[in-house]
Amino acid sequence: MSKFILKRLGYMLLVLFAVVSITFFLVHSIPGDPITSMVQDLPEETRDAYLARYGFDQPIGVQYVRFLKQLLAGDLGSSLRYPGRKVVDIVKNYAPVSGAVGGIALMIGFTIGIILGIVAALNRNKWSDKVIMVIALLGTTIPTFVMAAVLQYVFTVTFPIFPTTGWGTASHMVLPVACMCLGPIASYARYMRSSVLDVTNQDYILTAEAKGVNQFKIVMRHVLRNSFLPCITMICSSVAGIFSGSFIVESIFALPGLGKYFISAINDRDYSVVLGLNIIFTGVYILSMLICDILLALIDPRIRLSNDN
Amino acid sequence: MKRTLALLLSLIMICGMFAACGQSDTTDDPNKGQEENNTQTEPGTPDEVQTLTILHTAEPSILDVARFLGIADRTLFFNVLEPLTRIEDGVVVGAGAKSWDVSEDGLTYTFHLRENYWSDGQPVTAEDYVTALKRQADPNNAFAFASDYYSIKNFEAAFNGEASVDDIGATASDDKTLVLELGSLNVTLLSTADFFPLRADIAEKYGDTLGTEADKFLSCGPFTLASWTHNSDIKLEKNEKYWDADNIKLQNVTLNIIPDSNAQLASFENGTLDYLNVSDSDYVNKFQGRDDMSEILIPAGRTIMIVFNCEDSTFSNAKIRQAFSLALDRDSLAEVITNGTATPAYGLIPSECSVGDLNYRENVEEPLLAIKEANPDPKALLIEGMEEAGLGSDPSTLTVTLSWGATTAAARTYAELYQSMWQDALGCKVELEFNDSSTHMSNVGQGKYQMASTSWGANVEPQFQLSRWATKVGGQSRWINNEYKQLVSKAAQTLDEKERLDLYAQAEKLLIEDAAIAPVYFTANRRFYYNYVQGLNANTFDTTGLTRIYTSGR
Amino acid sequence: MFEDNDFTIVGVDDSATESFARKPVTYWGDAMRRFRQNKVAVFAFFLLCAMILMTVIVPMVSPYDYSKQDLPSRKQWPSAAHWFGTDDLGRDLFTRVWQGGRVSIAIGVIGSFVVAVIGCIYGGIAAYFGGWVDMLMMRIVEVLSSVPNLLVVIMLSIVLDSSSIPTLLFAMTITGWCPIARLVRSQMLQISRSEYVMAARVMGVSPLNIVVRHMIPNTISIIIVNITFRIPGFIFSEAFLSYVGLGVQPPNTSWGALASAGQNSILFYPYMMLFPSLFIALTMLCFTLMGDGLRDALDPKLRR
Repeated sequence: MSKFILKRLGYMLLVLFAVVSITFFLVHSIPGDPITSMVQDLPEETRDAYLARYGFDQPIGVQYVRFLKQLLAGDLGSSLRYPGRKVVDIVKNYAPVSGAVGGIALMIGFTIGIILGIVAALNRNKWSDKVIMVIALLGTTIPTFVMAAVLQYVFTVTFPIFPTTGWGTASHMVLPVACMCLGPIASYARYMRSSVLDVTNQDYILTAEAKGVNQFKIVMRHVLRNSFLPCITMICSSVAGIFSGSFIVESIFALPGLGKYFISAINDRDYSVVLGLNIIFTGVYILSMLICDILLALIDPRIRLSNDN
Repeated sequence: MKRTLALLLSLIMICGMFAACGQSDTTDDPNKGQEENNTQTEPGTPDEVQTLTILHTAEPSILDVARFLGIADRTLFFNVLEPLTRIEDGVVVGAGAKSWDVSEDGLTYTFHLRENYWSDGQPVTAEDYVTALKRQADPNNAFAFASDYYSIKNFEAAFNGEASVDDIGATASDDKTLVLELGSLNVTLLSTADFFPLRADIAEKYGDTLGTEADKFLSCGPFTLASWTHNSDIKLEKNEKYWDADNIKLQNVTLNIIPDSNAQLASFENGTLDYLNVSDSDYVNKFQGRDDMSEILIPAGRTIMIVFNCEDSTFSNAKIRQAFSLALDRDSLAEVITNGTATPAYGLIPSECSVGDLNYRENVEEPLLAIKEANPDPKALLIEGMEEAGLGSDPSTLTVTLSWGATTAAARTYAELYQSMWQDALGCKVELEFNDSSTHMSNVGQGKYQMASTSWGANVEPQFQLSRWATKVGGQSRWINNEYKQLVSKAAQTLDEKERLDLYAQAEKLLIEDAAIAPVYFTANRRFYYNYVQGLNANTFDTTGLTRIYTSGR
Repeated sequence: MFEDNDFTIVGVDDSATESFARKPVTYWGDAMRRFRQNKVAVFAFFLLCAMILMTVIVPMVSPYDYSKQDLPSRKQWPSAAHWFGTDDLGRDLFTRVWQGGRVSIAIGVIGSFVVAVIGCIYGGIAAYFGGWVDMLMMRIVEVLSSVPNLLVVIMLSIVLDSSSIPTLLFAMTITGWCPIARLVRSQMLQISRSEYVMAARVMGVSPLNIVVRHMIPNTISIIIVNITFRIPGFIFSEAFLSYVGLGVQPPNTSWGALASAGQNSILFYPYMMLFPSLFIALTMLCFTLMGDGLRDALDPKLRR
């Protein structure tokens, strides 16, 4: 197992390298640069001075090598749009915000979604199943920006219960989390329902029922574990997505999060931030995929056994 | 299932209706609230506790006078630093400098500084202003607005690395006397450039990180920077050591950084923000119906325009350009896009600009009006131009592209409005190109477009806007006209106001007659404020910051 | 109770062993039959056809042109004259919604289908071969998933100047298949260890055949759920693409574009966003119900 992990970590470095290189060339080939994005008509001299100061006037190959050297020395660079701020500090300050909101939303969404999915599958074609499916439908088709705008208006203006924007207290988190958990509730309910239906049609469940095992025990012992597997893959990729956050929710509720920062950085052509954040997001993503595979191997007896063979 | 679906969807619609219910049934009376449109709000007894919470449009880039990139940053500087002069009620008045003398030839300015202190107790000296200028001239800082200071001796040379920053024409002859030497005459220097101070020891202490956090910044203005939570808010406190502290009533100011417009409106509606510029027509109607709010119209001093690429094969012909300019229904555009807040523009310079005591627009008729009279049929003009350019005489064979620098749904709606106006009036085909603003700016700057939508803000004097087309490449329109350049540079050196105004008028006439641009409208901001806010003024170019505002009867 | 002399042996009728209990039926034939029996799924199918028909007919017969601006009638609530109201520029929304449906249904369906097919095959091959093939393929998926999508899209919008439907589909599907590939792979990892797959391998059936004929049908339920899920996602991502200039160009429109255009007016004119979203939801509902029906029909384990 540890050899497996080491091998995967090795691959992770390769993938990181590939991703960062691709992103580097992509971001340097689209038109625009950090200063043109911010300041309107820039005299040629100022633009040249700016590019020279940061070395953007050199051929792209030279810039790439310099970037790699910097990276290997452990320096992720400083922002260009917000001069003087280091990428590492940006991550340190903003990641907890995205992480908190996204993490809590995921946990709530996941828990409720799984429960709803199981209930729906077990009560197939009855009233409760249909209601849950409608909820799942709404969760996927109502765009986040609608949810956010409506919630913000209803709960901060019509009934001024929560603060409109900002970050700092628990009440600042309620509305953003509410917006972000509807999607996971919908998708996990749907997947779980489908998975449970698959499992309940298996022979061993039939056997257990024929043996007279109590319905609740069947669910807890057999159904739950076996239908859980597809969800593991989904959870892992969702976890990776927490830090890249939701641009829309962060903009509407003025949360100082990484999602908004990343998209803004691309639009502002803030190269260092784009690349620095990309590295971090990719790293998190790959790690979570690795954990996902390990979990699958541990939890699914079939894979575990066949691996041992 | 279907019933449940319908029920749930109705619930959502009801939520939406809830919101709409809040809107009172006001008749569409645009004059309601207009009686508040005076230049000063009514005075009242100030409250005991003076706080203010307002919107700050964007996260500041960096609070370093030599490295900042955003216009919002400059607005903040006027509250936390003391420039040499400010613009108050449209005229330049002393701030950090209590008086100044200008030499006969206009090339030497001697400023006599007031007594003022930094927030750590040290006095503000002339050397601090010199340090700031040197830092701005340093090419390592790549100061984005360096060109505003080029008239100072050796500034441009230092910025290009051809001279040392110590050679620039700024010296402190003693602690309270600052001498600026100009390399070329510039009578509008004080209304176009801002001179903020910066302490040399602080700059050295923090180096690259100067101005990235509240504790890496020193204030000497009407307010001090108490705290800065990135992407969230900025808190200011009254500076008791400020020379004019007795006249500042606000104690605490919170600037909330909210990028989303719906969130801004919600924040204002529930009272978190004390005032806000509102452009959405439905919200305007809603707020006009509220008794606890008033409204003030503040002209923005900004011209929205279409620039034509004069190097493009189609638009190198002036008649074609003019035809497109004349085919626009400016009244409809101003009405639909800004809900009547903006004024249709038939010239470049907005009505807030003045030359000394003379208001520009009152003295100069907008050039496009006369041209419109002379050319009632834009389509005929287009055909003439096409024939001249060898493009045939059938507009339906002509396809042109309008580039737009925003990709929001609203932007698409506006662009479609232009598109349909041109297609209907001229019979040609107009394609739309949407890019995010960085790509758009880059393309326009490099001349990769045919027609593009842009805007230009003005300074007190027409000098700034006019000079945008007097650059080496002819500005965004790539319109190189030597007579124009001469007029603009001569105006900068003309002391007599009437003469200067005349030169500006001639330059503007050239620009519009040759249709280097098609001005569309002059924007204005409709500011709604709760009735307890006092001291707002509608002077576009004033740089007094928040010094005059106070609350009464919160 | 029974006694021995209650029954007499009749014997065996040899010819009876040759007759079939029912007619022979192929996998697909059986699936079609089961699908047709599912009333709800059939209803959903017809509803979808009806919507497609509307998108074709309405713009042709409507008295309003979907692109004609009528400034005096801006922002009107639904009425007898305008069944869905008018938009910011006075255009009739009923006509625009059905015009937009053409693009959205086409893109939503084709897009998520293409992505599902690519994802399935890719994931299936990776799961089947395992070992270093799996390792390499999954690493490629990781690389493609990690490159920021916005950058890729901006880049594409510059490189591919045209904005035709195939270009649009290309931009949307270029990385969209990655999550499905991963999901399918993990499902198939389990199946590839089962006996019948081993048997097929031993028999010498080609890998592609094994993947298509054995592994895919057994993961079909998860795949179908995924496809139905992706459809609204694709419709909205088309709107997102139009933000960077790749989507349908104005005045042509799509449901996603209409919903986004109605975004700012949600609180005052909710109908602008409601109707396009309603139809996106309806489309997804149809596909969900059809998908359930298909899953029941195609899943060999449910075969009766």
